[in-house]
This record gives sequence, structure tokens and C-alpha cells, in this order.
Amino acid sequence: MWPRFGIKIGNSTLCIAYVKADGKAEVIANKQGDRVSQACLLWDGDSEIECGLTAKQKMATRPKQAVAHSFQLLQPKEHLTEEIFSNALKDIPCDFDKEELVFRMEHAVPSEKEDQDDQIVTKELSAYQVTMELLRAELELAHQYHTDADQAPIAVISIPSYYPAEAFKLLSDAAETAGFHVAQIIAEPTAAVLGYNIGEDELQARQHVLTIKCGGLYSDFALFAVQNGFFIELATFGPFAIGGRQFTEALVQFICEEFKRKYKLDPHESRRSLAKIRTAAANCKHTLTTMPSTQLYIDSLMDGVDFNAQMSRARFESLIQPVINNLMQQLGECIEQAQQKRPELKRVDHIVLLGATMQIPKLQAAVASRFPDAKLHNSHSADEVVAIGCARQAVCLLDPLEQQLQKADDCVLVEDDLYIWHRDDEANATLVLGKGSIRAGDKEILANLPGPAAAEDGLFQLEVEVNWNDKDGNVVPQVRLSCM
Amino acid sequence: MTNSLELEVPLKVARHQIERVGLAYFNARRKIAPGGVERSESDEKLEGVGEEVEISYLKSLDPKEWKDQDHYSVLGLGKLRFEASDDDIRRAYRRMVLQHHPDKRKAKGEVVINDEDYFTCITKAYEILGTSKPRRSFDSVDPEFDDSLPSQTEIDNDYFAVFNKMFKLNGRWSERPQVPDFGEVDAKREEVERFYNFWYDFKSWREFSYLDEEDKEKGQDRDERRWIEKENKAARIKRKKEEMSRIRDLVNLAYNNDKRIQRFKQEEKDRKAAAKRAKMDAVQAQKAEQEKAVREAALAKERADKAEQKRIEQIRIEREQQKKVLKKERKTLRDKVKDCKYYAKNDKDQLKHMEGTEKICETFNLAELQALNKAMESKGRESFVAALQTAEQKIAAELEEINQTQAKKLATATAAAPKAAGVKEVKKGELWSNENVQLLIKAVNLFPAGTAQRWDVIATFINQHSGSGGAQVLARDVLNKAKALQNSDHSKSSLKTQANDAAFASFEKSKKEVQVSNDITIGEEAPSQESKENVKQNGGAHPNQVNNQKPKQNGISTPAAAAAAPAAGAGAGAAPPAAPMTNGTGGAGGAGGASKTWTKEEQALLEQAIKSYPTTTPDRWDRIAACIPNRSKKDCLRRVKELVELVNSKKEAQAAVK
Repeated sequence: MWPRFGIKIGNSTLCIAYVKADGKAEVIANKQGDRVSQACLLWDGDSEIECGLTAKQKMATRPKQAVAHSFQLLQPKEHLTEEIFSNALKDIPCDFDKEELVFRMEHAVPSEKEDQDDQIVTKELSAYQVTMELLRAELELAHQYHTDADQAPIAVISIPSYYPAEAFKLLSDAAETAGFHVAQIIAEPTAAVLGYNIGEDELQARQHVLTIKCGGLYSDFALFAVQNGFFIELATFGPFAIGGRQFTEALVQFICEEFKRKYKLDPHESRRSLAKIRTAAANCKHTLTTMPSTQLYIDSLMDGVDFNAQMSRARFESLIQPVINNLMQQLGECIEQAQQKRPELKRVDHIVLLGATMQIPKLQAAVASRFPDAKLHNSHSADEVVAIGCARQAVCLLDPLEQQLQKADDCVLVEDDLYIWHRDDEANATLVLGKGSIRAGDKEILANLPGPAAAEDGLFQLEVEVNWNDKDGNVVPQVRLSCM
Repeated sequence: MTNSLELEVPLKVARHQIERVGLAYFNARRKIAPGGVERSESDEKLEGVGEEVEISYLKSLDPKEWKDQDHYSVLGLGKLRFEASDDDIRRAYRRMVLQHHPDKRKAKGEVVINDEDYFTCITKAYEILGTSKPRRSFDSVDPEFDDSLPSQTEIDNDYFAVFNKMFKLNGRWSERPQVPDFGEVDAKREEVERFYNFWYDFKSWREFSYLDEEDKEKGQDRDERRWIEKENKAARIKRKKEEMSRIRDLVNLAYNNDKRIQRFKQEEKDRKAAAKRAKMDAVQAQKAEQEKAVREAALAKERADKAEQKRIEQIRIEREQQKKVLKKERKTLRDKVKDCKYYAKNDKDQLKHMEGTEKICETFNLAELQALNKAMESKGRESFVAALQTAEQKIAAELEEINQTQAKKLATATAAAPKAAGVKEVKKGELWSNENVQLLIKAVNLFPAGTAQRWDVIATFINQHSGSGGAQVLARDVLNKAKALQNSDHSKSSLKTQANDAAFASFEKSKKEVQVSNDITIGEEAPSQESKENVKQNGGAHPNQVNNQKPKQNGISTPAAAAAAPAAGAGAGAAPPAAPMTNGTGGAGGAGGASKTWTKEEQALLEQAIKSYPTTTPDRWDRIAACIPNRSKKDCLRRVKELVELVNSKKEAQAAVK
């Protein structure tokens, strides 16, 4: 049963963490030594499909054979609106058939005779199959730690908060086909909150947690209440089309202008040049999250001309400032909206950042300044925290072989203790209902009531039945005592 | 007795959608048991964590000697021991901590000396049992484990109970999870085999690092640590070996005493013996069958041989009988005819009838003779005369037939003979004798093309050298001849015509001879002795057959000569035609001359004749010649001369050798 695994799968990246019985979650590095794998898939035109970084590198030269950003399309058909399509199709390198809902990859086989046209071979993969392939690559990583051949590795997988319940089933099926045993699918923000152990102490008062996710393509926000170790989702917002891509794009625009100014050549004219700039810009962005400055060097950018520039974090930050402002404005609107509905949300105690883009220091600073009273959690790398949270959740599972795809339970949370005692003997009171316990539906509670009132053996059993009468949305408990 | 009371409680509750995540949620879920009945706190704590531990036992422990303590007993798991799950151990430890933590005891007013407190033993026990590796090493040397092997009396008393217990006990060391059961008396063969295979191939995880004399970490420097490790390793290996041999002994003990194995072996033996017996039986049966077949075949053959012999004998007897009957019939006929005085009216008639009787005897077959005899009994002379007539008719018909075939042959032969041979050609043939042709060839070679007046010169050359000195050749003749010789078309060449002529001539000669011999046969009214024999043997075959043999023999030589002639002609254009010519004449001469070979019969007749007519007999050679058909007096004389010469030469040769 051990180790168990937590997997985060997103549009741009995947991350897998394992956890042993001691509860310590550890991210597994892939073959390239990266802790986060690229969610790219490349078909070689024949039978081989490769995933990860190598696929992403080859994607620039062979876009028609590659699939990327596919996860957003892993949704039930009726949820795939025109808006989602129009947003998604911009980011997918190969063709996507909207009718059949398949990625159509094309590969030109060079013909043997010169006078003939190249033969085009195509391969169709659904988003489901793509997800399966990507997860299969993760399974290989899992097998470093999972040695039990009889039992598929137990995994908890995350899903973005705005996905409908039907998508849970899709994702779980894909992972099961890939070779995992999916014990549970949990929402990304929940996983992130779990990743930081917020509210695990059962006796703490109610706390509010804001999660801000900014991934490769989209961002979303969620508000949670944590009470006695229980997590209650209060509101979710998103997705908003602000993601790492916008940040990279700002940098790309800058490079283009700089190049144009220096050499009077417009890189926009060549797709190849643009692809090169994009790769360089993405690298530059990643470097600048940790380093104060970096060298931006693009070999033979256009017409044999190289591009070389020094990039400092300050300059980068000034470039991405508009995007950050955009995001903060969106966030502000959402919070205000939520606070109007629930006045108690005035106070946000914790902020959890997730998604690779949230690692940008300037963005973190912007969030921190917006919520000065809240505790900002960023000790885990923002792109790994979800996987770690999933892994931690995997530890808690009672019966990992049972699959749970339901996100939340309709429960009644008891906020006071309920004692029973005999006569004035308060010292011998018995706790029937504890503060912070939850009840789902009618329950019988057996309690031993000590005291002299008992019959000959000094004990008699008291059956306590609590009826939860629902009055105007408020729950009023009805307690019935029967003496036996 | 049930009292029921319902109250509305001012309990603060709220309804929420609670995420199914986090420890608290799952703890809460766990508390809500499936039946909806919640266990009270104390119940939950005590559940499944073994027995209470005597405080006096704990107090008796020395924390310094932790290595020798029984960790399971310390945690109250003395009964579960190695079967305790990780969860059990964790819970047991938590319970022990709750009860025995120094702070708790201090609160109760106990005096606790920090260093030597027994609580250290509890933490140490958990340290060992709580992590899998040290727990394994402790389990490996579990003091409760019985390493001994069962004694022989135990085995004899209750073999299966003892070994079932032993193997169940030892099965816990197996690295492989599913340990097969020892099984009972009636276990199946495969199960028992699987069991022993497993145990003879047993891989134990038992290791003895717990018993290490010294702790590696105590070493002061690297060398010392290394030495310690080496020592420990050696000790571990030794113990492991002992353990392996113990397991092996146990399995051997079980195997050797296993009645099932003995049973299986016996069964196997029986089965093999049965198979062998069956095989032998089969072989024997096969052999017997083969022998029987051979015997039967021999018997059948014998029977068939016998039948064949009998049949042959039968045929022979039949034939003899037939002959006898024929003879008898002939005899009765002769006798009857004789008795009746040949039904003759006069002497001439009698002679004729006597002759006729013999003719009848010869020509009539058995049935006819019988019929005749019968008829003669009743009708006498009439039937005899009729038979005489039929016999004569038959003979006449035969003769007629022979004559006809002869005539036919003659006709075809004469028809084939070319009557017309041109005068000129004859002349030319004379002109171009073999000699002349040779001369011509010589001359042509002598005077090559380009010689002045070539053909005239050649003509004079031939005329000069020609020995015959007959007709003179002219230049024109020479030219024609040379051309003809050169001409590759043999059908036109006169050479071929010549060869054909020669061949035909030899053929005709041989034909004439045949006719001669035929005439002789016909001329003699009574067939010779020899031909009579032939007639008898062939059962009424035509007498002509005998004569036919001669032309056949000649026929062989004539086509050979005819074939030789064109072959020579077809050879190189200048080939001498003399060779076929001489051959042809030689062959023909041989056939026509006295050298006609003597047959065996003729020889025998000759010898007989010479003996019967002594030298004193007048006209001796005439008489001898009369005895032999087809031979003249001259032939006989020559033959005798030859024979005398042959005998003389033989005698000379023998004398020379001596």
C-alpha cells in the first residue's frame, strides 16, 4: 500500500510526489532531473509517442505532430463551450477537430520519388488519450518507488477547481488506464491548502484561506473556510485567461521590438524566429524568478543575426507590470464580490499560492501587499505544492482501494459540546456530541451514563437519537433519549 | 422497560459542504462506524491493542539492557508478536505513552528518576518495532521462537500434527508470501510436491544483525568500525548458515518420514512396473503374431506348391492318358482295318488303304478317331472310305495352302525385281569398274584443277593404267563420272544404283534357294522323319513352318548385305564400291555353295548312315546321301572329309601337347 502518490496534472505541466507511511511527501524528479514534467506529447509519425521535455523541444520544429495544452479539453462534451474552444485552439500546435473532439496530428513522410508530393499520415488522439499517455510517463517515475507488481500504485490526482463533476470520472478513467489506482480526485486549491497543513489543528477557530492559482494559461481563485480541520469551500472564481503565457508574451514583445530597433528586422515575419524568441523568453522568465539578472542570447534569430541582451529582474518586472495589474484587478473584483455575499470574509488569514507563475517574486509581492494581514504561504515551490498536497491526502485515506470521486460531503458540523450527566454529578458527565464533530444524516449514538441512578450493575445504557430538523435552511437538532 | 424523552437542544450546529480531505475529516469518518453507531472514546482506544502490561514487569526492566528485553511484551503485544500490524504497534505504543509517560506519572505524584526510568524501555521497544528493518532483525531472533527440531518419538506419535505446526511456525521466515500448507495424509501428489519444492528452495529473510556483538557506531575510527563490521558480518553469515541447515534438516526430517512420499514412490514404482510389463506383453504379443504370420505364410506356400505340383502332374497324366487313348484308338483303327483286311477289294486297294490308314492316324485327332472307330463298328468300310477321303482332302488342303503361300511369295519377289536395266547403264557399269573408279580418283588427285586439257589427260591416264583394257574411256565420260562421284545427291548417283543392284541380286539368289528347298519338300510325298517329329510336337502345326525357318535365316543375311551396300555408297563420295560387291557375292556364294551348314539332325543321320553302310557297300556314298534329305553325295563326301580333317588336327594338337 505504500508508498502512495499524489499527481498534479495541468495544461502545461505535470508533477508527481510520493509519500511513505510517515507522511512526508517528496516530489519525484524526472529523467531530465526536473521536478516538474512538461505536458507535451509528440508523435514521431510512426508508432512512437514521446512525452515531456524532449517533446516540447521538438515541438518548435514539428508543431503539427505535437499536442500541448490538452488538459483544458478533458471535459465532458457538453461543457466544452465555444469560448473554451476559441481560447484553447490558440495554444494547441496541431489541429483539433471540434466535431470529433480529437487532436489530429499530421506527419509528412518524404516520398521516395521526387515528382510526387509528400505523403501525409495522420494520427488522431482524444484529450483522454493524451492525458493517459502523459500519466503513463508519470507512472514510470512512480515505479522507481513503487515495487509491488500486483498492486497498481495508489494515487490521488488533482483537478482544477472549476471543472465539473463529470470530468472527475474522465480523469480517473484516464489514470486507471495509464496504470494508476486512483483513490481520490481532489480540487487543486484544496490540495494546495493541504500541502501547507493549514487548519490541521482541530481545535483552532474558523479560518479563511484564499488560494490564488496562476498556471501556464489560466488563473483562478478560491476561498476556503477551515474549521476544526474541516475544509469548506466558500467560493471559486475563474478561470481567467491570465497565465504564464501572458508574462512570456510581454517579454517576447520586448525582444521583438529590441531586435527590430537594433537590426531593422521584424521577427514577426518568421514563425521560426518567433518560436525561438518564445523559448528563450520562457527560459529567461524562469531564470529571473530566482536570479537577479540573466543573459538573453538567441543564436541566429533571423537572417543569421544573433540576438544578445542583458536582462535584469527589474526590467523584466517593469515589462510584466501590466499583466500583474490585470491579475490583481481581477482578484480584487472577485474578493469584493465574495465579501458582499459573506461579510465574514473580510478577514483572510492565509493565502496559498499555486501554479508555476505564482513563483514570480514581483507577483508574490503584489499579492502580499494587497493582503497585508494574511499569512502568505510560499515555502513550497508553487508548481509542486499541489502534488505534495495530493500525496498528503493519500496518507489520510481510510481505504485507499475504494475510489472517491465525490468532491464534498453534505454534513452538519457541531460547534458545541453536548454532555449528559445524572443529577448534579457534573464531574461524571459524558460527552455525547463533541465540538467539531460532523454528522451526516440521522445517527444513533450509544453512550454509557455513569451514576447511582443506574440499576443493579451500576450501568445503564442510554440511547441518544439526534434528529436534524431543517428549518428554513437552519438546522435544529432534536435529541431523543431512551433509557434501556 | 423503555423510557423515551425528546428535547430540543440549543446546540449550535451548521450545515456545510465539507471537502472530503484532510485528517480531521477522515478521523470523523472513522468515528462514524458503518452502522451509524459511534464507539465511545475509551472503546476506541482499547480496541485491538493487546493486553495490559503489569507495572511490576516494566519496573523490573533495566533500560541499559534494552537489547535483551522482549519488546513485544513491553508494549503489551506479547501474544500477537510478529503478527502485530504496524497499526497495532503504533496504537499500543500510544497507549503505553499515555499511561507511562514520566510527566503523567509525575502529575500523579510518582517519583521519576529521569535516567533510569523504565519509560526508556518503552520508547526503545517502539524504536525497534516501529521501523521495519530493526523489527525484522528483532523478529529474526525472537526469543519465543522455537528453533528445535521435533524428536523421533514425537514424529512417530503424530507426524502430521507435529510437522504442520513446525512448518507453520517456520513459514513466517519466508521471503515469498504464500507458504504452502503441509497438508494431511490424503493430500494430493502435486500439493505435496509443491510443498517440498517450496521448502527445499526456501528463502528466508531471517537475519541475525540483532545479535551483533558490538555496535558499529561505537567504533572510534574508520578502521575499527570496519573491523567491527567484518566481525559482525562473519558472525551473521555463520548464524545464517546454521539457520539454513536447520531448515534443511527440518525439511529432510519431514521428507524422510513422510508416508505420503513413500506412498507416491511406491505408486510410481508400481506404475513403472506396470508400464514395463505392459510393454513387454505388447512386444511378446507382437512377436507371437509375427511368428504366426510367418508360419501361416510358409504353410500357404507349401500348400500352393503342392497344388501346383499336383496340377502339373495332373496335366501330365492327362496328356499321357490322352496320348495313350490316341495310341489305343490308332491301334484299334489299325487293328480293325487290318482285321477287315483293309476293306480292300484288291491288292492295290489294300496298299492304298494301308497307306490311307496311316494317313488317317496322322491327320485325325482323338475325337475324330473315336468317332471313326465307332462309325466303323457299325458301318465298316463305308465310314473308313469316308475317313480316308477326308484325310486325303485335309492333306490336299494343306498342300494347297502351302503352294499358295509359295506362289504368293514368288509373285511378290518377281514383282519386286526390276526387269529393266538400261543398256547404256549396263555398259557404263562395265566401263566404271571398281578399278577404274580407283584410277579416276587417283588421276583427279594427280592432275588438279587448272591442268591444261585436264579431263583428256585423266582419260588417257585411266586408259593407260586400266588393266582390263576393255572399253576406252572418253574425256566426257570421265567428267560425267567425276561429277557423279562428287554429286552429293546419292539418289542420282549411279553408285547407289549399283549398290542397290548388288543387294537385290544377293536377295534374289537366296530366294531361289528357298524355292529349291521348298520344291524338295513338296516333291517328297512322305514327310521326313524330322518334319514328322515337328508335326507331332506342334500338335498339327503346318509343315511349312519347318521350311520357313530357312528363308528366315537367309532373310537375315540378305538385308544385312543390302544394308551394307548403301552404307558403303553413302560414305565418302570416292569410297570403293568393290567392298560391298565382294561381300555380296561372298555371302551369296556361301549360301549357294557346299558350305551350307550341317544341322545336328543331319549330322546324326550322316553318322548313322556311315555306320549302317560299311565301306564295302557298293555305291556307298550314294546310299548315304539318300539317307539324308537335302544333301547330295558330294555334300556328304565333303562333310566327311572335313570331319576327318578336324579329328586329325585335334589328335595332332593333343599329341603336340603330350
